[in-house]
Amino acid sequence: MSYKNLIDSNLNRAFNLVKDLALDAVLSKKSDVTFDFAAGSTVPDGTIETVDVKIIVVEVNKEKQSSDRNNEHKGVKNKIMLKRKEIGDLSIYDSINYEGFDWNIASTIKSDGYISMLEVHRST
Amino acid sequence: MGRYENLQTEVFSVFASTAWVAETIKTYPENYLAVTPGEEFLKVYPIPSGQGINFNSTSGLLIIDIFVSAGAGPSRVNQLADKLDLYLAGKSISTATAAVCQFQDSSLKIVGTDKDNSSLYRATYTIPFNYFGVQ
Repeated sequence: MSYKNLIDSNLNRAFNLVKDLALDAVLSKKSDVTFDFAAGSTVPDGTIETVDVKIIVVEVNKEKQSSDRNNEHKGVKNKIMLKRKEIGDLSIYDSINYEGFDWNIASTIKSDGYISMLEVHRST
Repeated sequence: MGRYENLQTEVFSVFASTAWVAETIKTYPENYLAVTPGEEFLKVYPIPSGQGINFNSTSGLLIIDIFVSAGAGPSRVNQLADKLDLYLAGKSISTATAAVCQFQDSSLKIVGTDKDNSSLYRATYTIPFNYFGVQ
């Protein structure tokens, strides 16, 4: 077995070993979103691909309600860990659903060839 | 629609035109993130920060960031700026009834290697405009 396959199989094992800490999630990937200047809006060229993935929530950050106008839009954000092989390349137009909520993918905090850490913001 | 959306429609009509599309220059607006923008593209930012002659008018700057491959010399930036001049400098654009966007003379500022992607070289093309809407 190659080192790459060895790491992938151990990663699958790790996600199984953490049992219910690994949550089921559905990743929605919009393929090739373009901008239409005539319509003044974005147009997803292809279909929305949904991918069943396992995630581990590693940080929950519920911002306090604040009257500070620079902070009032922050809302709820999480940091989640996913297997890179399951998700492929992501864009800002992709989203993920878990625990009954939709989450926008704000940024990729870290991604090696095997694990991706994403910051997601709750949209619903 | 109000003056800001109308202005956007006028400016975007330039980049939606068949002539501009035929130039095959990748062009994106602000707040749009191309997944694979490539090594040569433009980003368009209308900034209606000035006053107009009435409440349906405005004025400001159309800023277009020009991105080309780093290390390829200055020629392509100048070619793209000249291309933009053909469509914008001194032109009046009117897609809506009784409204017109008049562009003045442009300027070009070299920014240098892009700070977010050092494989790209960036320049900023700026052209003032007046948008006249009927009250």
